[in-house]
Amino acid sequence: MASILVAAAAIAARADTVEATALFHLDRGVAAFHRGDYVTAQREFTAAHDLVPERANPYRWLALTAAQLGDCPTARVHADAFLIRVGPDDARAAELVRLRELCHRTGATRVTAAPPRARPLYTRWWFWTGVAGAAALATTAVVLATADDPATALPPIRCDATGCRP
Amino acid sequence: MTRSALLAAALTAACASDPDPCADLAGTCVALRIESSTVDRIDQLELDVLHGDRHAYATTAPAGGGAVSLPIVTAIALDPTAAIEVGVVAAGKLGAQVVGTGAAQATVAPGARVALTIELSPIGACVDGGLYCGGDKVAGDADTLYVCDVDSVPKARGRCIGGCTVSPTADDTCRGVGGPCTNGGFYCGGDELDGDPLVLYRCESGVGVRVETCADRCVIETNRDDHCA
Repeated sequence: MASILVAAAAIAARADTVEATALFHLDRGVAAFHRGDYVTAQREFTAAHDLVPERANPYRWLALTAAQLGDCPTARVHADAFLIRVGPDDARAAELVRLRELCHRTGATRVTAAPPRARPLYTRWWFWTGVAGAAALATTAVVLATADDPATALPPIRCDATGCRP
Repeated sequence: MTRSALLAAALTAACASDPDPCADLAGTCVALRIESSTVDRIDQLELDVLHGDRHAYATTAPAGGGAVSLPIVTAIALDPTAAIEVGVVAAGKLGAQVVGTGAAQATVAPGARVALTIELSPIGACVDGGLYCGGDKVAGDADTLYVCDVDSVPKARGRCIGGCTVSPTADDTCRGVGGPCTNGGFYCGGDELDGDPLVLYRCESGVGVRVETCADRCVIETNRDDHCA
């Protein structure tokens, strides 16, 4: 009996370790996905899936990653696997259903963003700061150039009931 | 500090270069700025000041002597006990010659600080000693009668309570209001008979006959004869 309990504990401990390791790979894959490194993400999600093949979440991420890599057939397989495991009521289902439909329609849903274009100058913070500064300097220069010379002050005059005097 | 604040500060600094001539004066003060597009320099500024029912004349000049470039500023300190109309006629002189005249007016309350700007323009061809409404060959308020002085600033004779009438062939005159005048009565010009507001007239058949020119001012009364003060 004792040997059975020890074996059960060992199995449970191993299961915990597997879960933790799978989660570790999943987290690394999500981080890679968000930074656009889809190859690394795919490798990490695959590692997580291999450790816990019955879990739904790795399929979701594998589907999203495959779509980003332009591998629509693989994306659809993983999307189907995810949807089978979570059912239609899962909050994440709509995302995968849409992905699968897009793949079905186009054959590929490479939705990777185009290489980021160079940001237009006018979107840079310093651009408008520079424009405002230049405008202020130009305006000041114009005002100074066209401003009257300071007026000369003459002694005042005081007026009362008896008259006005300097 | 925001960029707009920096810009505003720069503009303010650029525009606020004139000294405040009233800065060292307590009480009621008119800050007078004299400028011109035709007169460059003056060495003397003559001012005819009509304040309330009083009239006076004064001259100011650069403290160090010599001529100064326009614009210039000066101050007129007053001591009114109620809000008064202040009319200022200015004559800029250079080398004893009048090079430009101008006028401005404002209502001034006790304790108020008022800014007036006068643009000096070339003098008109007025006849020395002749009487003119402001704007008719002399600078000044259109409802004030002035005497032309070709060597100085036009001097106000007084405000015309009924308006000033320009005459092409004779002296301009204050229009009489409230008339006709009563025979034998005494009236300031403009009060029930046409005339000079600094002159006391006797009414004869509805027309004023000159009695005397007042040294200071002619006082209009309501239930008795007008008189000189």
